[in-house]
Amino acid sequence: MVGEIGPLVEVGKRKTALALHVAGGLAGGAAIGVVLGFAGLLLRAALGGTLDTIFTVAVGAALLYAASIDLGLLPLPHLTWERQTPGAWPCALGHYPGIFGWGFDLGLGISTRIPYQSLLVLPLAALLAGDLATAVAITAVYGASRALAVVAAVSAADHNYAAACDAIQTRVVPLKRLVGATALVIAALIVIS
Amino acid sequence: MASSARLGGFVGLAGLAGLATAALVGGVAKPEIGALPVFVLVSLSLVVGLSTAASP
Repeated sequence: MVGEIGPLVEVGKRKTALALHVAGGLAGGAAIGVVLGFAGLLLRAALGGTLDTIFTVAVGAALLYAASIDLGLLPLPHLTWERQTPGAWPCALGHYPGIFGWGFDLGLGISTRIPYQSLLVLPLAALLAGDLATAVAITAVYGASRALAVVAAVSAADHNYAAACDAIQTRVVPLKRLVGATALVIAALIVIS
Repeated sequence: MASSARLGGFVGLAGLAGLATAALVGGVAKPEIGALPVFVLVSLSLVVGLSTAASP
């Protein structure tokens, strides 16, 4: 994404473009959070307090599974989609709407390639929380922080986006380990809470 | 150096905003799953989100 959006923000107003990307990420995350939150409310109405037990068991187990794969402990297939956010959107929709659309699409989290298995736990947790505000908080923070990471990388690239992409690629495996370790700690905290 | 400082600033701001959101939702909305699971899951969202800048 840095390689795609970096050169584009050189055209037009750079800060506007990056702000729209973050707004898109926040909107995408919030949108899927609203959908999952309402579905969770339906589950809460149907299951009552049993949903809390299901949350603890299912989210704890999913975190353990995802963390084991992200840490490289389980040699299991990586669940992912092949779809990537369409590179033609800035041409098809217009410069700023396209950049907003990229943020929205990536902020949804589950409509494009899944970089870490721990990401899959977020929509599951948002659904099983059975609470609209919690679901929106989990997914909107993901969408906004993912877009902010792109903004940070573009800002730090100093116009050399190819070098920034290379630098990011060298950090993919350590970042995956960091995400896996975080998921493992969070699994423990959820089970003991 | 300036780039690293800017990068750290962005990440720090994102972290603060995310954790403030978690504290707000956990404290004000009083979810039935409890405030701690909300806080830790929002923290996971932050870590996963901030780690995916390279993804298409």
